[in-house]
Formats: sequence, structure tokens, C-alpha cells
Amino acid sequence: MSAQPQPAERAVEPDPNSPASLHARLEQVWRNGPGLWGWLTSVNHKSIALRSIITAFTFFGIAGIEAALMRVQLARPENSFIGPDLYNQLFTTHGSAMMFLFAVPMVQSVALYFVPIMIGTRNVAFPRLNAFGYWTYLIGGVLLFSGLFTNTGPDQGWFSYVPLAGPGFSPGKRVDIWAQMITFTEIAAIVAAIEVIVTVFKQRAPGMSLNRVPPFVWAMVVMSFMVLVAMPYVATASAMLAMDRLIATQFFNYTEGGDALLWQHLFWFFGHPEVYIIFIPGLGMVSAIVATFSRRPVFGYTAVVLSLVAIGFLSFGLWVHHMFATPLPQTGESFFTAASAMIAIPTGVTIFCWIATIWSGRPRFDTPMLYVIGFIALFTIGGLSGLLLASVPVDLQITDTDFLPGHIHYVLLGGMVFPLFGALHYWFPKVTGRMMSERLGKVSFWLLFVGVNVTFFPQLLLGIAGMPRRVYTYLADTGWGGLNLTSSIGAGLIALGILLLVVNIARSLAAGPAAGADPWGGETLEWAISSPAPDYNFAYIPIVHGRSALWADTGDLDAVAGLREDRREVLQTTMLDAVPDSRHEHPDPTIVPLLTALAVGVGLIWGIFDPIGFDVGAVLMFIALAAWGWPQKTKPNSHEIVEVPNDRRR
Amino acid sequence: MTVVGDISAEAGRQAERPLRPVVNVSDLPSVVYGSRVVTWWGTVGFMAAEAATLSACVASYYYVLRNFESWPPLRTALPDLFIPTISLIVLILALVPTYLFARAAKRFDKRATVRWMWVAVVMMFIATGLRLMEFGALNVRWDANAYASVAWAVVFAHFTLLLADTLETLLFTVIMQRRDPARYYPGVAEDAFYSYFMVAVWIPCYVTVYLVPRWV
Repeated sequence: MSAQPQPAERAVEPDPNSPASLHARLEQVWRNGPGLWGWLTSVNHKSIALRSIITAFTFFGIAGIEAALMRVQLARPENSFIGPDLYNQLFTTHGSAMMFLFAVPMVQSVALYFVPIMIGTRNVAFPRLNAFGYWTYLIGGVLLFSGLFTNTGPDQGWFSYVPLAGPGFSPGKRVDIWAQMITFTEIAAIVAAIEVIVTVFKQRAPGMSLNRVPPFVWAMVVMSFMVLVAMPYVATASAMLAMDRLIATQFFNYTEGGDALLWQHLFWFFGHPEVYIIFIPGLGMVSAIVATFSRRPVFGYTAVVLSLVAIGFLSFGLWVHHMFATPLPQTGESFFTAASAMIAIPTGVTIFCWIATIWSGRPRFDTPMLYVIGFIALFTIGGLSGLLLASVPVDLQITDTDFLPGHIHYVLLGGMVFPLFGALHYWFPKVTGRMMSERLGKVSFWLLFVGVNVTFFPQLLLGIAGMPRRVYTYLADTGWGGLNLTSSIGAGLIALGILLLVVNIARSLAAGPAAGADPWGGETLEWAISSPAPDYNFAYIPIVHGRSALWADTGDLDAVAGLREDRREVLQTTMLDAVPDSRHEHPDPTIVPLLTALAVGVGLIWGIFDPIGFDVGAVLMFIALAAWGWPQKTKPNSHEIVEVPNDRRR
Repeated sequence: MTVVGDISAEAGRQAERPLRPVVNVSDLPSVVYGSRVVTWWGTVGFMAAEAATLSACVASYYYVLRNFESWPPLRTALPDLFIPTISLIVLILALVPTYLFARAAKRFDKRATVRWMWVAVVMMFIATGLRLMEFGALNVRWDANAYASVAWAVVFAHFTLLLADTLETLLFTVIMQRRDPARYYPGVAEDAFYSYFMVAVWIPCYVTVYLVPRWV
């Protein structure tokens, strides 16, 4: 990307239609403001998504250190490195942070970075809302870890079962911090989901009809719909929990007719789709990588997309398999066992489509592709261990043992972290303009791959041997010492792999070779523009002639002109066929999203200590939203082309 | 599907793809209505999330109901019907000026838009006031038992939607009266669209909280 234009240079620019001149004008309009203020007021999707990705990685790092501390404690029997109270806080904040502060925000941030570029637009549909979502998420994350660092870390487990999490057994503010963290992150997740859906539905490049949308984008759309339906359930549940604790409602208090199982239903109605909310974007990333590195479009596009949609639907019919150890009717158990088995069908279809893609393509095994292979291997083990859990009699034996953490880590590391790291290596050149080291990338891949197996396979065995999960130590004569030590050594390998990855990132940022626009010969639109992408993404909005936007046209790309260059304007297209329909002006940078998020923060955090805080927060939020809705200053030469709707009712 | 043969991935491309404008969109409208504009879709997205939230509250209501032999529980009075029913009627009637201001907004008729918006705002404030009285009409405090908690949850969850919509309509009314920028007219129409939703989802909530205890 070229440096920022100097006004003097623009003044002597001879040809106003030259690419350099156009670039200068668009950059002037679309770039963030200067300095800290510019950073705080940015509404650019790439700036916000990138800081969100860095934030999520930071939380991943902290939660990873927590995991390492727990593995040190468990490395030998009767260890006294960490006491039970701190251990409880560690595993609770580790799980909560990985789920709510890393996995979901991370996949959504990747979506918010790449979806607009892949579909050929200049920003997400609601730029200010996007910024608001990030700030809300950040406040929630800081809240959780502020709790931990002040010995007020949640200690009831990441799914916060009542009655343990209720006022009777968890006095103090620890669980309240957890509940409010949920509210913050769910607001952010819902906002991001709406961004993705609307951006994809209304701002696709002309010609990108729905049956030409890249599988990666489809995956993000399916994930976003799932977020819209699932997240309100956990937000409602956590609000009920907070109310039980703060103003003595009786939702979960069985002595007053409340119900502990109500919590489990509400939580897992969110919690099971959550697994797929994390996993489906992983499938999208895999699809993008497989196509590029096999040098052919994904085999069975329609089957892959329909499978993604099917997984999304089916994932809402599985939640009760988390509750097989509760008194459920037998038919219910059978139904949910069958549904759990059924979701293997669309998942299998996608896996076979990728294998067919690799088989019939000309695959290259660069680091991103290695992570794809690693994903298939780990996810298969994760899936098979899940089959055991889906069977009611087996589940009754191994539920609440170390088998569970073993299984979930295979699934989530395999299904989300490996595709994510593959995506990191794949898109790093686009984001930074520099290549990562292949050699370091491969070393860290193998460390991670071996490390994950050495860490989590012993946990599957320990679970079968009867070791309960969430215990801070065990006796020597249980015989669990050897496997636990192995698992801890594996955790060391993972840590080393992550460390090498960080080194690779730092080295590449400083001195990696220049990437150019399209280092991998990619299929989708992000590879058409310079690396890193300019603030406005596309000088002209490209026109798409096939599913593989860049492979369908190998030379110049047809494009659309006529969007204004003196203000932030995007093209809106029709939902199904992506025919140009209207122009839409976007807001300039503004501090209002940050202020609104702060108002939410004041309300939710103050509310933990005194319910009056909710009222204060609500008033502050109304003021902030009024500022949000107020018309921005009219720009010079502003003229709207108004189309009076054809209203039959008149 | 055939393999694309001429992709030289090994080499990659250093330069960005040249973009060759072949279509000009400068004469496309910049103010459009309904599903043609992103904010309409954003509104639908929030409706989906809010409907899911309400459904979680209503589902909790029926889940807890199974734990009781009588509903409402012993020594708990039935909720009043009078205030909630008046409140429901006012809400439904408020849709008339809402419909009229949306129609006027689609004609870019500022006078009619603002006039009907003020009528709608006043009616929605009345509905909000009545809703506050409904908490009293429940005849039980939120912390009395699980029945009370779920009933309060349903009414309160919808109260937040009502309050937000009322304040939003007020804000739009003030903006339209003072500034009336052309591109705000579709927003006004969407505000009405949201009001229809807000009133529609209240009907099953009303049936649940006020009628079901009389039926079971």
C-alpha cells in the first residue's frame, strides 16, 4: 500500500482519473483520523476487526497460561503448587475466556475482516455498530480478568450450574462477574452477527448471486444466524442468574418452585449450538484454504453449502445430550442420541468434499494446508470420542470425568484452533503485506499437533480410568500420576508451539519478505487488491462472473464506477442476484460507539453492586443513542437521489 | 466439476488486479425503502434476537409452571386483567398513527409525518405508563416465588422493547421536526416496522401472563 498522499502531490496531479489520483481521493475519505483520537473513533471494519483479533489472541494467551498453571499443578499427585480455591478460579476463567472471549469473538472478527473484502464492498453494513460491538466485548473481557486478578474470579465452572452458582452456595461477587461478562460478550456477538448477515445480503459485488458466494462467507452467514438464535438464550439465562443473586428472584431456587434444570436447558440450548458456532467458521476457513492449495474450486460447492446450513439447523436439536445424567424421559434421550448421530452426516459430507478437492486437485502442502490436515485428524478423534458421549449408557459412566475435557479440547482445538492457525498463515500476507516463515510455521505446526495429542489423549484415558474433572489434585495410589505427567509434558509442547508462532509473527512483521497482492494464487476477491488492503478496499467495485471470482477472470476485472469519491458511499445490491440497486452513504469516524459501550459498561458493572446502576446505565445509554441517531453535519454538494416508493396503498 | 488448469499458484501475483469500470451506478438512488436498504435488514436482525430473548422468557414460564400444582401458586392472587387489557388496546391503537406516519414518510410528506409521529409518541408514552402500572397489576412481588419471577421476567423483557421503541420514536420525531434530512425518511418507516413487531410479540406474552393463569 502506498504512503498517505501529500496535499502538495495531489495539487499537481495531472490526471484526475489516474489510479494514483483515485487512490488519493478515496484514501482521504476512508482513512481513520490521526493519532489516539483517530484510533478511538475508527469505524473501519479492518481496523476494528484487527484490534479485535489481537484482543482475542491476548485473552487466548492469558487463558493458555492459566491452562499451563493447571497442568503444572496436576503433573504429580498431591502437588501443592496451586490451592483448590485458585484452581477453581483458574479452570472457570480458562473455560469462560476461551469460549466467550476467544473462540466466538475470534471467528467473528475474522469474518468482519474478510467477509466485506471477499464479497467486494468497502465496509460492513453498520460501521458504528461494529465499533460499539468491539468496545463492549473489550469491557467484558477486562471485567472477567479484573475479577481473577483481584481474587474475585468466577469459580463455579464455565457453564455455571445452579444451585452451585446461586446465591446460597456462591456468595460474593464472583459469579456476578461471570454473568455480566456473558451479557457484554453476547451483546457484542449479536451485533457482529447482524453485521455479517446484512453485509452479505445487501452489499455483495454485482454478479455475486447467492449461489456464487464463497463457502467461507456462507459459513460465516450460517454461524451468524445461529448466534442470533442461540446467544439470546444464554444472555437471558445469565440475566436470570444475576437477578436470583442480586434481587432475590426465584428462577432457579427449587424451594420456591424454581428449577435447576431450567438453567441447564437454557444454557445448553445456547451451549450446544455454541460448539458449532465455533466450528462452522472453522469449516469455512478450511474450505478457503483447501481450494487455494489444491488449486481448484471446492468439490461439491452445493453439497458443502447445504451441509453447512444443515449443521446449523441440526445443532439446535442436540442440547439435551449435555444432560443425559439428569432425570430425562427415555424417549427424550433416544431422540437426542439419534439427533447427535445425525449431525455426523452433513459433517461427513463436507469432509469428503474436501478430500475429493485435494484428491482431484494439485495440492501443495504449505503451512496452512498442514493445519487443514491436522484439523481433519484431530477432529476425527474428537468426533469419535463424542460418539461415545452421545451414547447414554456410556455417558453415564464417563460424564464429569477427565474424558470430557479431553473430548472438548480435541474438538475445539481440532475444529477451531487448527483451522484458525491455518487461516492465520494463509491471510497474514493479506493483512500485513508480509510473508511468514514457512520453516518456523511447519515446526510450530508439528509441535502443536504432537502437543495436542500428548496432552489430551491421556485425558481421555484418565477419564475412562475414573479421574474426575475439575479436581485440583489426586492421591498417588490412584495410579493417575504417569498419564497426568504425560499430559503436562504435552501442554509444554503446545506452549512451545504457540511461542514459536508468536516469534514467527514478530519476525515476519519486522522482516518478512513482501507478499504482493496474491502470494498464493487465491480464488476469492481479497487477493485482487494490494496487501495490506487499502482503507477503501476496492477503487472500483468489482463485478463477479463466476463462483471463483479471480479464477473465472484471469486478466482485468470488470468493475463498477460511479460511487461518490468525496464521501463514504457503498453500493447496495439485491439480495438474491446481487444486481446494483442503490447507493448508501456511510458515517464518518465518531466517538459515539465508544461512549455508548461505556454507558453499557457503567450500567452492567455498577449493577453488580447496586441495582440502581442499571437505571443509571440505561439513562446514559439513551443519551449516547440520541447522539448516535442525530444527523451528522450536512456535507457540501450533498444531494440525495430520492426514489419515491411505489406504494400501492396510496 | 473440472479442474481449473491455468492457475500458476507457484508464482502468485505481485500486482493487484486492474479494475476496468464497465458500469456506472451514479444515477442509482441514494434513498430507498424497505428491504432494499441495509437498515431494514438490521432491524430484522434485532427483531430476531429480541424474539429469541422473549421466547426464552416465555419458555421458562411454561417450564416452571410444571413444578406447581396450582397456577398461580397457593396464597398468590391472580394478576388483574383491567390495566393490562387497557394497555394492550392502547398499544394496538397506537399502530394506527404509526401506520399513518410510515405512509406519510414514504410520500416525503413532512407535515403529515411529524403530525402522526407526535400522536404515536403520545400514545406510546401512555402505553409505557400503563405498562409500569402492570407490574403492580401482577399482584405479586418478583421475589415471592418462581411463578412471580417468570411472570415479571416476561413483562419486564417486553417492557424494555416498548421503552426503547417509544424513546426511539420520540427521537426520530424531534429530528424530523427540526431537520428532516431526506435519508431519515426510510428510518422513520423502519421505526414503524419495528413498532408492528413490538406490538405483535406482546400478544402471546399477554396471553401467557394474564390469561393462562385463569385457564390452567
